[in-house]
Amino acid sequence: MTSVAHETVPRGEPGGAPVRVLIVGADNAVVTRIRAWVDESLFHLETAADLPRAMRAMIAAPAQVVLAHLGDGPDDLTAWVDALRGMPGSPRLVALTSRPTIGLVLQGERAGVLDVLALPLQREALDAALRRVSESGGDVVPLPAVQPHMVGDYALVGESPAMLEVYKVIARVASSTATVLVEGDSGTGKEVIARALHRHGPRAAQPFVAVNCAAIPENLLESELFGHEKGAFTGAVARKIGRFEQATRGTLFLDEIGDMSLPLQAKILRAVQEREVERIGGDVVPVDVRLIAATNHDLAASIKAGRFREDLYYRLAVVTMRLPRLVDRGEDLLSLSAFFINEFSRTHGRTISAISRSALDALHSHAWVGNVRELRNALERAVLIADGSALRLSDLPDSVRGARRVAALPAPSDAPLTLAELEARHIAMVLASTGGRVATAARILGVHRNTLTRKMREYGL
Amino acid sequence: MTSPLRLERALRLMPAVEALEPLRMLLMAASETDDARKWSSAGMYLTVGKRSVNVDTLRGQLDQLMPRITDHVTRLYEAYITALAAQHAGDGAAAAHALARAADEEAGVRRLPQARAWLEVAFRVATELNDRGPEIEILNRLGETDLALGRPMDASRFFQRMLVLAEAGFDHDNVIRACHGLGRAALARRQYEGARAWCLRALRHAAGGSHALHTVQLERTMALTSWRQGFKDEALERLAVAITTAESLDAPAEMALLLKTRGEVQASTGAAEEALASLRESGAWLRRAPDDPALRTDLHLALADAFELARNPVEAERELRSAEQVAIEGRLTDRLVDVYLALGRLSGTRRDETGFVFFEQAIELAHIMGWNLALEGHVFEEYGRFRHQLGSRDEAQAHFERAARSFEASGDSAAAERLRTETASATA
Repeated sequence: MTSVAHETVPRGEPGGAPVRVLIVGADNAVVTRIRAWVDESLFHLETAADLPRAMRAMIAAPAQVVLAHLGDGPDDLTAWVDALRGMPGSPRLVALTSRPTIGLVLQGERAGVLDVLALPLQREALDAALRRVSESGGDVVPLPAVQPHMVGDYALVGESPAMLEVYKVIARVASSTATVLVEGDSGTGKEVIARALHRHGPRAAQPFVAVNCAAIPENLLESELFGHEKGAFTGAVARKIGRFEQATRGTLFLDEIGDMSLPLQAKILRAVQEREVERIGGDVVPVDVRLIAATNHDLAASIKAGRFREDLYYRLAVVTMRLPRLVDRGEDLLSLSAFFINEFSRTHGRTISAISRSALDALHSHAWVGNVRELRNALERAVLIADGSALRLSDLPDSVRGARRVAALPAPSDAPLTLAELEARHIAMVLASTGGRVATAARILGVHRNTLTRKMREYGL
Repeated sequence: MTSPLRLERALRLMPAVEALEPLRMLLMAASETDDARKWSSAGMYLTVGKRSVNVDTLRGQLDQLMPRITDHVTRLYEAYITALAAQHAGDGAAAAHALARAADEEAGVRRLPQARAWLEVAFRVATELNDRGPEIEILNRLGETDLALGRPMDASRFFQRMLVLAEAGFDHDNVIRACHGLGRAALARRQYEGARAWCLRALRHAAGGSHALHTVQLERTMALTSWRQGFKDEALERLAVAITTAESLDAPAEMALLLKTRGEVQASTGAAEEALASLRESGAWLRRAPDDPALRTDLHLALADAFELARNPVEAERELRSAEQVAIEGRLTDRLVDVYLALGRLSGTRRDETGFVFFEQAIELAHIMGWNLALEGHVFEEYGRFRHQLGSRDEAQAHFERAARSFEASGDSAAAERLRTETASATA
């Protein structure tokens, strides 16, 4: 049996300050046992009664490891994970529990918990958990230099074949004033493409006006697009110039056009055909705009379902472009990540020049339902949390690091898994890969949604 | 399974009938948003109106809602019949008590105007009694209800009468509560010296007795008063004393509230890290207290401000979205208004014109609530500031005028006057 006073056990600095470990909510017997096992020249042990007092202690002096007893009180695993996110020193959590269920272990893995240890505490288990603190760093990959194609404040990043096709279409159609329909899933960059088309086109010196049709309440969208006169309806407190008029001689970008109601689609069609709009309660005004529309819907299916006008579709889809999903341009992931990390490091005053191999693996394993927008968001959060020169797995949001950890981590003990444990782990992995969407996970697993829900309850997932 | 539809469409189909109020709340609470929509370009502008409602889910939840409505109405009817029987038997105190119980029922489901209506009847009954005890209790509840309804002037009148009666009866406990009520009403009307005087009077009464919890609550109101007056150090000192006392009382809800206030004061001094520490600790205490969705929403809002101050917009937005979720699930329309105002302000600082959708949603929610004119005034004032920030002066002016009218109608002529003066100097 090895003691935790071991060569590989972490220190704050090589040969320097001991690692600060905070033991929370444990009874005296457990604390005494840990004190007896741990070499206090390597580990500085402190105790706190509960989570609120532990938080106060960690603000006063950051801890590297928190050994938290999950009792019957309100401080469950979720409470601890929430509490430690963004705390000074990025402390790692080791949960102590007298009721270690497979659900709890998996929940811990998904949330990036260092370990879940059963009570009564075993010396070897504690030893192994503390040793993992030093092992959680791993290899790092330097961030490559990225040459983005700048579109004003926006950037196009990526050299994958899928993106090269997109660049070719931009080059082909930007110089015309043809109406373009940009299709693609959420977060694939449809607005950036629209801006690129405008910027490289003959109307570049004129305004680019974007309207997000899905964001604006249905009852206000018409006045937003076409404008209104003062007093035209309740709430029309002043005259308003609509977005069509604002975009005169420039480009009007109608984002999420698939969300527009049928009556409004008819008015858009009229504006496109007649090249004029009618302010609500006012006159008809001629407009001269280049129209670019975007959607994340399958408009063909919407037409079939009677939710989108076919004649409007053909007016908009003079040229269509389909943007690739992030998972379909995996080769761009590192350069995109490097671009965002550099950008956010500059914005938030950090100096991050590398990413750990495990963090990169997690980025590659994630489903990226929200595509580049989700990646950007995850990396901004990570940069804000990171406290070194490399971005690490623990800096990534729970949702991103979940899939990799469940799939790749060994079982909490060396004993072979039971069938139930194996099933629970597999369900957790599929759930993580679908971003927690039960219906999709049920489809992948080939079971009914109710069966999956029952099993999730059974395993505490 | 039917496909989901937008909440804004579902709400448009519902007439403004009081009997449908629980259904309206259920619609909002049952609405949801999916991952794909969250990450769409409209995701950052999502409001409750853009969430989806599934008719089948709604139908399923209706089965759970109906017994709750029936129970609620049954308890109200029973309370009334009990009150009637008690009055018939000449027991006015029992009648007043039964009517006050009905008010509690209404307040429990956040139907505050209805609670107030029950309390008014209970008050009439209580004033005819020889014993002043029930009257004092109902005056206290009327005062608290009016404070929650944004009517501090009316609240003051009830607390004032309560004070007179309690002093006449040497009822120390209720003297403290009445003075504290008067202090909070003065604070709500921005009469800071008055608030300070009332709280000090209450503290004098509390000194020496077993009123530790009252003392903690009074110190918090004093701290809020000091803060609003700009005496931030004094506010922090008072909070430190109150926190020490509350911790020794094992009062998690008070601890959560005090630490939240401390975090807000620290944020106002620019101390982002200290503020975040206080607010996080507040959250840890809140988990130990009885569930209070309103306080949870407020805490998320405060955290959002602190993260914004710490130049962490991602976490700020995350906290605002958490606040939104808690407010929707907790059916806290007034808090949801606060969330959208905060999201709107955030858009304003980013000079993002589409942020107007948050103010429009806040206006719609304020209309649904109907009863809180002070809140309505606040919404239009914020909307005006947003429009002003983005250069739409005419619209800003119109919103400021509307806000001033709402403040006037709520009895807060000071706020109306302040706004008119500000607007006049801005347009001069």
